[in-house]
This record gives sequence, C-alpha cells and structure tokens, in this order.
Amino acid sequence: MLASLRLALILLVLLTIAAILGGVLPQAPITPNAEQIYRAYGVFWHRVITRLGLDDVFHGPGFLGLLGLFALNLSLCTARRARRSIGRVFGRPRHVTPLGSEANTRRMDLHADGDRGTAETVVRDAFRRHGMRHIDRVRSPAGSSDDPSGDLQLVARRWRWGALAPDLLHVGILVILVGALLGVLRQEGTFVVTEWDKGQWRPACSDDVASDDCIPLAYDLRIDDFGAEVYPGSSQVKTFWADLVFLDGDEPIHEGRIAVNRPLSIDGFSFYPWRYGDDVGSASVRLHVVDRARNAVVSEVELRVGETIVVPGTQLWVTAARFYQTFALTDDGEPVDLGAVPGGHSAVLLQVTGIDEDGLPKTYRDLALPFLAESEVVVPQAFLLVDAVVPAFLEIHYARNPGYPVVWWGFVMLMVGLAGAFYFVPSQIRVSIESDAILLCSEGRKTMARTTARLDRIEAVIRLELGSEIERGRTEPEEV
Amino acid sequence: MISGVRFFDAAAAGYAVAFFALVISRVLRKHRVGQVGTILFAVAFLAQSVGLALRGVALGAFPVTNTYESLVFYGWVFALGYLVLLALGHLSDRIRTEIGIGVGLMAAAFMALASSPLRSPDVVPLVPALRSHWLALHVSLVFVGEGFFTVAFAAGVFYLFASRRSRESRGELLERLDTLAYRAIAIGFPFFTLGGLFFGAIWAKHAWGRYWGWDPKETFMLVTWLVYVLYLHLRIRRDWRGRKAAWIAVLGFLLALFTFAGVNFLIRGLHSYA
Repeated sequence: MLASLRLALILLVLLTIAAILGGVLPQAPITPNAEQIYRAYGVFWHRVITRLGLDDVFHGPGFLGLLGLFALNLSLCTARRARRSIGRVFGRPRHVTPLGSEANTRRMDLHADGDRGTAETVVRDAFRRHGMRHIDRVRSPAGSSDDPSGDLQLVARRWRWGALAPDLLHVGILVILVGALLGVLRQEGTFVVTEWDKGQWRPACSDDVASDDCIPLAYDLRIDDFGAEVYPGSSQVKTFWADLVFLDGDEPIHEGRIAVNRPLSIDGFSFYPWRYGDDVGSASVRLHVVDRARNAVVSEVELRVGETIVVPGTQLWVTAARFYQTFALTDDGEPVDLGAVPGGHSAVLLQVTGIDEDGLPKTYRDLALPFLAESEVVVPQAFLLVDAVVPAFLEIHYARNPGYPVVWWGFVMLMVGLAGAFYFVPSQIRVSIESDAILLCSEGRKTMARTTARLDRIEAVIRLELGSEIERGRTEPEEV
Repeated sequence: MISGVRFFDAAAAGYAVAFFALVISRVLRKHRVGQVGTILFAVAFLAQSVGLALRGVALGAFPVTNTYESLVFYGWVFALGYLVLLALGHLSDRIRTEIGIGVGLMAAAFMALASSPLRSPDVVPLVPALRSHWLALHVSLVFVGEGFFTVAFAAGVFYLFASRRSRESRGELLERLDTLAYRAIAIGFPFFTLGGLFFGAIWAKHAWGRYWGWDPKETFMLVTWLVYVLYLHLRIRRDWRGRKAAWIAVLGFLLALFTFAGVNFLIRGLHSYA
C-alpha cells in the first residue's frame, strides 16, 4: 500500500492542490502584509484561514506531512523497482517460449538443410550494424552444448543502462527532499550599510547582538566601498556592488567584490547584495539659522536625521526628525515625501526646543525649506535648508545552507534520470534460431516505434544475407 | 528605442494568413493550399527569428526581459516545436494541417497580444537581477519545454473535438494525436525541468541566496511540473490514453500559461519584472 502507484498519484494530486492554495493565497513568510490582508476579509475568514494554516501552507504540518508521506512512498516504490531494474541491467536474459506471443514477431522459414551457425553469424552481424552490441546467447532448457538441436536465442540490448534511469530520477527527487530537509539547519542574516560606514570597521554580529537577522560570523567584516553603476544617459541602476574585506583581528584574510548575481562565498557563507538605494533616514542636512527681525543669517548648523544639536549662540535644541526628498502637503496639511522628483523642493522636519518667557522648555515643530516661508510659529529664529546629502545604502544578505550541495546533486541525478528515461529508453530484440525458422521480436514499451523500425531493418539485413537459406515470403506470426 | 517590431508585425500577419490557409485546406480539402500555409508559417517563423535576433543585439541580452519579449519568444518557441515535429516527418498530412491550424492560431494570437497597446514594445534596460547568463538558460529552456507543451495542448484539444464523433472512423487519427501529445510532452518535460527547476534554482541561489522560496512563480511552475509528472505516470504506468490523457495535457498547458502570464499580472512576487 505504502509503495503503491495509486498512493503516489493521490499524493501528487494533493500536493498540487496544496501548492495551488499556497500560490494563490498570500503567504505570511513571503507577503509581509498577509496578516492585514486576511484581517480585511473579516473576523470569520481570518479565523478560518489562520486556523487551517492557509496563511503559511508550505511550512504547515499538513503540507510537510504530505511531503513526508510522498518521500516514504517514493523510497519504498524505488527500492522495489530498483531490484527489478538491476536484474534487467546486470542479469542474463532468460529463454522465452513461445516467441510468437509478441504482436510484432516476424518469422522466416529456413530450408530444411539450413546452417544454423551461419544464421547466428548473420544475426549477430545485423545486430552490430544497428548499434546493438550487447548480445546474450540463451539456449532453451532442453538444449545444451551436448544437445545443440535445442532452440538458440540471441538477445540484443540497446541502452540497457536506461532501465535504471527512472530509479535514478526517483532517487534524485528523494535526495532533493533530503537537501531541503537539511535546510532547517541553514543560517542567514542581513545587515545594512550606508555611505557613512564605508571603510569603517564593521564588527560582524557577536553573540551579544545576535538576532533573527544577524548570525555571528567567525570573522570581522569591513565594507571598503560600495556603489551602483547606472546605464549611460539614464538614472536606471544597471548593477550594484560592494568591496568586502574579511578580517581576523586586524589581519585581512579574504577580500573580494560582490555584485548582483555575483555572490562571494567564504567559510560556507555566501554574501550577496540584496537592495541598493537612497537612505533618506540617514540624510545629512545643512541649515542656516535666520534672525527673522533682521532677515539675516546668524549661524549655520549641520546635522543628520535623528541627531540633536544646540544652535550656537542660542538656547535652542534642534532635532532633524525627518527629511523629505521632494516635499508636498496632503489635503490634511500633513507633509509627505514624493521621493526623488526633478525640480521638487526638499524639506526637513525639525523638532525645536527652546525656553519661553517663563523659563520653561517649549517644543514646537518647524519645517525647514530651501526658502523662507510664512510660518505660524512666532519665534525669533527661522531655519533655511541650504543643502542636503542623502547617503546611499546597501543591504547585504548572507546565508549558509548545508542542504545546497545535496540539492544540487539531487538535481543532477534527476536530470540524468530524466534524460535516460525519455531519450535513452532501453530496447531489446530477441531472435530465436530454430531448426526450421528464424523468429524475431522486439521487447519493451508498447510505444517503441523506433525499436520496431530497427526490427524491420534487422529483418531486412537477415533476409538479404541469408537469401538462399530462407523461404521466400513473410509468414505472419502465429496466434497464441 | 524599438527594435525588431516590424519583423514581429510581419510574423503576426504571416501566422494569421498561414492559419487561414490551413483552415481552407482542411475544410475544402485543398492539399496545395495547406502546403502554401505551411510555407507561410515557416516564413513567418523566419521573420520572427530575425526580429528576436535584432532585439537581442539591441538589448545586449537574451530578449526575454519583459512581458512583450516573453510573449514574442513564447510564440517563437512553439512555432519551433511545430516545425521540429514537421521536420521529424512523423506527422500525416491531416495531422500536420490540424496541428498547424492550432499552433498558427496561437502564434498569431500571441504576436497580436504582444503587439497590442497594452504592452510596450520599447527596449527597456535590464534590472540588475536580470543581468545574468542564467537568464538565457533559464527562460529559454522553460519556453522550449512550454513550446512542446503547446503542441501537446493543440493535439489534446483536437483529440477532444475529434473523439466526440465516431471513434471507429477516426481511430487512426485519434491514435496519432494521442501519440503526438505524449511525444511532445516527453520531449518538453526534461527541458522544462532543466530550465525551470534546476537552472532556476541555481540562479535564485546566485541572485537571492536561496534556491527555492515559494515565490508565486516558483510555486506555479512546480504545480505545472507536478501535473505533467501525473500525466507521464498515468500514461506510462497506467496506460492512460485518449480523452483522459488529453484532458491532462490541456490542463497542464493552461497551468503553464497561468504560470507565465497569470502570475505576472495577478500575483506580485520576486519574478514580477515587467
């Protein structure tokens, strides 16, 4: 039962249905907002989907159980099949009587004084001429070297190793599944570097800071440089890259460049660039502090987003809360960032803390633009955005998966097996040299049109070579 | 920058005319018209090949980088599949005509869809992830596989139509259509597996650091693969032939089509480039 084809087919259908469900429904590990999507369906459907595990089909017990059962079925089926296939490849063929049971048996009647030795030579030669070099000589149980009058059968086989191809294919799938299982031991992490980090020592994750996204490495890592290449005359990114230096203490042990589709492997870990872009959250801005009364610049400050500084000569603390590459206001008066739009105005949202007349700290929000705008805030100072630098960032992923080599070998076995199963199909032609006739038949798959054609050609050669030995005409196979 | 578009338009027209010629040949039993249709089909294929070559040169990459190019290449591959089967000489006149009608219609439809205003024929620079030699290997082999699946689909559809009438009078035709569908799948399946699963996994490992991630495109490619696995097992081990096998061939192709187009338009994922 567990090794049956019926079970295999049922499991294939169930796996297909499960995969369709997982492909159509948003999956939590792939679609970040899957939870929100399901909540939007309403409480009932959200509950049904999450309880049935449809929001993570491929990691759920149902799918993994089906996969496990499929692996068991395939293992048992392959073990049973392989015994037969090995017998077919390595075993000697047995004598088969009667030969005429095959629908495509051809018969050539020999003259009464026909020479069977000559017939055998001709048949062997005909086999070889048609690429069937592996020929076994089989005698009927009654016939022996002492009793040469028994039937002699010559069995020629082509692509006999092809009999193992379906087994190799199945083993390949099992090996892939084992490799996938080893994937649970994988380690993967990610880190983001900005232009400000270039050339600086960047300690790899230590045990203290290890998290889901950060796996401790056995060495330190430094990003010497990174950047992007754009297409000529365009701002579209062609590729992005980073120069990595791996360090043991202060000693560089390895260095190399990673780029899209060109990862770097060291110590089993592969490092590859994942995302590149502008890190607006790390922008650096230069502001002029303007005395509103005199309409004159009194000082200049430079700070990064998130940084707080004291404006020189004042009692103001300024924090750059957010930078807008292209600033716009919504209908509600809320500022939004439109991204990098040519001709647009940048802005920086400031959080300013000063001391009021009562000596108490007072905080207000102000928007610094490249020009002085009307402001509802009545304070002596205004802020003018003079310059902004948005650094590029690069997100680097790294991963180590002990299942990789296993999966690759599985794929190789699968492909060799597939090629063998469809393009190197074993075929077998059996010729029985009897005292009064030569019988030919092909054995194997019913759809083997090529084997039948080869049988025709071999028959033609034998008829030609043994022309004087055989009766004219072709006799239809006997009905059995 | 637009490249190869004139050749593609010519090919679309060629396939359409070939389709009508083959239909006339079939309905009026005019053998000569059928031959003209086959020649027109081959000429349209040649024009499409030149267009693809020009586009590949302009792009500096294998021209399957967006939906427009993929549609054109898809049409090209199953036209190639049909011409290969013609060259092998296993098809009778009648089957050649009937399959030619199906493939000609689909090639013309794909080219027309590709030429529609919905899809931009402009040559667009490649996104970084697509700049890899795996693009040509992965995509082209998948399309080669799907080209043969299309032939199997056409054979399956004709089988289903033909078998609705008397089976006795059409026994040989049905047998040939059934065998053609099986052969096309048997040829296409290893290409589909090699290009789609194996090379796709290697490329995913290079680009994204993992060989499999249950991305919708990957998942539906697996679903398609499983359906053809079912077909082959049922056919080889259970000797499923005829209408049942034809239905699976049709289902497999519809899934392949959904994997190619439906997933691109309906489900967002890592493979949604254009």
